[in-house]
Amino acid sequence: MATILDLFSKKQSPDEFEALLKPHVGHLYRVAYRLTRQPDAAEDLVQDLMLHFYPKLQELKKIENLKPWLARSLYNRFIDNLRKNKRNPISDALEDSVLETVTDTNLQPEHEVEQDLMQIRLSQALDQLNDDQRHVIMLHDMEGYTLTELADVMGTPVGTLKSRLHRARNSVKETLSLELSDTLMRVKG
Amino acid sequence: MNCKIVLTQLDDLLDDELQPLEKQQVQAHLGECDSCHQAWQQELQFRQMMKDQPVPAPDAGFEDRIFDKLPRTGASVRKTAFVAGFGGAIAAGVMLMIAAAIFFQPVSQQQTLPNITLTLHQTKKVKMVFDVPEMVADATVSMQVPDHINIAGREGLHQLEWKTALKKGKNLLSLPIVAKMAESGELVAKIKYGNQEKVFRLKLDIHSIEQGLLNSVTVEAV
Repeated sequence: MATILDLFSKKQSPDEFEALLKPHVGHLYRVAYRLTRQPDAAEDLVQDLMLHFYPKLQELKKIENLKPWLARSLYNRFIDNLRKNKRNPISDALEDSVLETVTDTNLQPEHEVEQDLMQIRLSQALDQLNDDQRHVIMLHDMEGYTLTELADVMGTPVGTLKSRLHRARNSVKETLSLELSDTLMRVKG
Repeated sequence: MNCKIVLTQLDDLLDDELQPLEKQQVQAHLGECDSCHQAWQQELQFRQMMKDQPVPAPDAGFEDRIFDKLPRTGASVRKTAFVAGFGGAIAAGVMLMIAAAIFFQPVSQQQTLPNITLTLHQTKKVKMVFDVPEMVADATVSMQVPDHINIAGREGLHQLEWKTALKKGKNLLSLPIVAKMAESGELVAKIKYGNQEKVFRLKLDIHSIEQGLLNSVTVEAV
């Protein structure tokens, strides 16, 4: 009888799961975007996480502070997928590439033009970092996680994260160094 | 507290990692030392720039999609595009368009394309759209313009290269360029992925306001 009751108690509805997780998906999307750096992959990563946890509602209910716990799970899932991807390189993606053109007669306000370039340059600078450095600088400096929170999310000691962050910032600054102040003035001007 | 120590503690000050006394000492020094104060301002600018990096909003209906895809029964869980895209082979191609601000005109691979015409000394924003049937997680994109054409606001910079993930569908990149001489030129765009590389050559015609020069050009995929 106890087993049957247990089965009933574990029965769940999507509504129950949704009520518990919905407050967190916006934040998870931001973290996922910082990790994947593109919107569709971020959404897919969040979706993947939700599907993974859906059968585990009862376990989720027992977790006191879901936000950091979910962020850690998302990060672990991202790293797992990244490793799988590295083991399965894709080689034919560009085989049938074509180029098309249409001219653009619109001019953009100068500050918007500068902002596009600034993002490209920052993207280039972030490309110079290794994965660990890039993840810590994006989650700390862009998303506002503290080092203590990141130690929990990434499963890495604070001291290690601190030195990674320091090296990451120096590398980004070095890449951007020549015109950082000038560009910021233009972007904000 | 001297400048050397203060400069090593700016990060900790911003991260709120200093003890109260250290914090007070560093702040006091910054109030007195112009060069450290300038370094502090640059650090603040850098942090602000990082914070300002936008996160694009997910497509409309994001939350609904997330929860609508949950299995209604105990049936097996569907693999998502992210997992499939990361782990599986992508057999489809990549298409690069230099596109107008709003609309796109698909054409076949071999056709003669509309030229890009620049007016001397006037900035034109060229928008490139990579239309990808499946996600490409780790592509390298590069753009090269000739010496007499500048990337607006970046005089002297003629080549950009960066790694990026190409999402499924249209990936937009804008490049503002300005011609300094009335000479034709060529914009070279490259996409690299794994051991594959695709090169696109796009001729640029430049005319002064008086000339009105226009010639058709062919874009050659190498």
